[in-house]
Amino acid sequence: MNSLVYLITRKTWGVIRGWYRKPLSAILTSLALLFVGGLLVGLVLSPSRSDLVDFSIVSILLTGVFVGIFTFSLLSKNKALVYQNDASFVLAGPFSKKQVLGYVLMNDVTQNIWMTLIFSSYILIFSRGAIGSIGNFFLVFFAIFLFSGVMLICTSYDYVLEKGIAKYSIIKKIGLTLLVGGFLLFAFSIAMRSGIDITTPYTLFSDGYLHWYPVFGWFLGLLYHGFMGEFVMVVLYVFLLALLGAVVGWLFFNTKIDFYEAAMMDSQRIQVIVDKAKSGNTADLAMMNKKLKSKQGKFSSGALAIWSSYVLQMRKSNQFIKIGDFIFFSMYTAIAYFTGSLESYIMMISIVVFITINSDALTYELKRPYVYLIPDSSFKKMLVLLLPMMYRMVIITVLGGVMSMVMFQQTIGGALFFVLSLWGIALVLIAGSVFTLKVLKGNKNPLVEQLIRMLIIAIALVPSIVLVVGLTLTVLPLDSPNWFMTVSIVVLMINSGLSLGIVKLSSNMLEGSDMFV
Amino acid sequence: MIVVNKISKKYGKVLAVDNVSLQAQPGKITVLLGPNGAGKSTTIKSIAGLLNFDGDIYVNDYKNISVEAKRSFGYVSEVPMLYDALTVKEHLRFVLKSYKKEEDLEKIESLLKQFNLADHQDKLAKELSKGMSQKLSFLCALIIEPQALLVDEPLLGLDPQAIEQMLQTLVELKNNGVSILLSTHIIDMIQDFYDEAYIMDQGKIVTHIIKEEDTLPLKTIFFEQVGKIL
Repeated sequence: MNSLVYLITRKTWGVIRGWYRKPLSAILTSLALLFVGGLLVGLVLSPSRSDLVDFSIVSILLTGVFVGIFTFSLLSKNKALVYQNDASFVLAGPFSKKQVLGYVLMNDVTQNIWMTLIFSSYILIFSRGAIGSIGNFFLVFFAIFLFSGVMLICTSYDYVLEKGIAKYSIIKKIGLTLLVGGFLLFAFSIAMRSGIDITTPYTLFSDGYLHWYPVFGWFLGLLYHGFMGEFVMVVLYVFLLALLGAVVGWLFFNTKIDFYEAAMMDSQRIQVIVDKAKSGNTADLAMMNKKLKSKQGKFSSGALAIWSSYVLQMRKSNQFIKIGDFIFFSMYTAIAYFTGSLESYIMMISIVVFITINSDALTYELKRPYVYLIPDSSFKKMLVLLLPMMYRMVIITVLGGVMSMVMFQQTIGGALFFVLSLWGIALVLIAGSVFTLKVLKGNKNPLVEQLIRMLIIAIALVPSIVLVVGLTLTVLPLDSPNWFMTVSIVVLMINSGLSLGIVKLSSNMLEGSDMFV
Repeated sequence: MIVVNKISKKYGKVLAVDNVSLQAQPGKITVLLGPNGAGKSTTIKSIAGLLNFDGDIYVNDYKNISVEAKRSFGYVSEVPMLYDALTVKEHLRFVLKSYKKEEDLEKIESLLKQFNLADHQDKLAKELSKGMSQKLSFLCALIIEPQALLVDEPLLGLDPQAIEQMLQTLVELKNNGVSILLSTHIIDMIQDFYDEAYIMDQGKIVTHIIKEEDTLPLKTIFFEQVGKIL
């Protein structure tokens, strides 16, 4: 067993060491950690302004996300107990079944720590105001750790059961429908009692009956009573979740099911998926288990052929908007609806743009030879490579504009201002993503990536602010009826120019890049 | 013609290619040989403009990263990198159009027939076997009628018949005046086909062999120079 513990600790250490392998990556990782640490210190130093209504929105959102992840992980067909490199060593090595299962459980704990850190960082960055105080942050951190731990153990046990019991998958689907469907129905009936409006998250969060609902309700109960400082109840919900984890863990550890062959085969399959995900190959990933339609398409000439190929692939997979993007968009639109202001909606959609516009499609192409080989100018090729990101930007922002008209009775002019303002940010974000790739040379470090993108946006805002202040003080007073529209157009133009400059600066990546190794 | 002049390439602190110079003449098959990690693939990728490097590379008198040079050479990667959701035929159409050439369907059909892929032309890349993917990758380089061809480990994953077919094609291209530079591990297979060979070890060229001048078999020279098992 010692060798398995050694393997897990070395693997984890290897990931951390990888971030500090190169000086630049080390500096940027440290900066990113300082940034997150700074946010935490900010929470400690700022006067605690715990707001139950704000906190309830974060808690309900988190519960919703976990309901989704829990359901998805249990229903997903792309599962494995271990990765391929582990499989050849752990499954084929001189280890007892209990040692192998113990290794899987240790893997779950490691995975849980990463998952908790990632979720907590996101919450800290995007919902700091709603978290309110450092105490609340640690409460959320602990609740995520406990719940995702239970979730991972359940997923591992579910995998083994699926391999050993013939009709298990039907039983699971029925059980899951009852558990998740029941929770959603229960929550819906509570919400309907007082009518769905901006107070709904608070109503759900504070409902004592809902807290008794197994698993998801316990999580919500833990957050609610933690926030209220009712520690006896906190202990109770912690006990319920921990007990569930312990029971499932015990059952898993003592299973008699022979899972070796299936685990070996699935490890190979999952490795393909992991490799594709690591190389940013999300397009192929999305299509892996999908039945593709037969579609004919024409290819444009030169660099634009890459875009034609992208469109043809989208048409074949019938995936014009990514499900993940749609979920983020719906989630943040719902939050804005419940917080009830247009300003917060603009902020929310900015966050959606920040999260969804990433460099996946670009990374995918940069790891293939075609973009380098195509005999066309590098700048033109780079612009074409950015079209998928721009496409996502247009879809999300236009949808946001339309929703702003529906939810907040915006005028067409107002919605146009909304869309143009977001384009101003999104274009810099896109250019920032390209520049980040150039700087990091494909070394994926999500924290650092986000930090550089934020830095670029902050720097890019300076000329816009200077010009807008200048305009306001000279020719366009603040009370002018066209102030908003003029300012949004000016910002869009400045940011377009800046973005083009950054893209031009980065386009020599297509004359040879260390990403293609 | 491919001219590589004193190129070096570092991955972090590791010097993968160290001051390498070589030439691949038109109408000749030039082979890059070497043990694992010798720098063969890095050299070929640098010539193809996929990696940045120090030094100069020219393809048909143009800098390798220029549009003019790119128009004139084809590249076959070690691992076929295809678009999962595009069919065999769509890959070839895509390459033709991206090189601003006419979609010559007859040429596509004829190449597919020649490489026994005609029956698979509407198959998606993700449905192809490893060997078929490798063939398609090769065809993507051939369809543009290159004047120079860079081939990185072309024989991996192919069955004996496909290896023979690929080597015959390389000979045909050579006879048509194409400059061919290929890296391989399989010395026995290329003994009859190569014209010149460069043996690499630890990032450096250790020997340049011209077949007409050297009577010893390539394998013997290789082991004499490198002293390692491939």
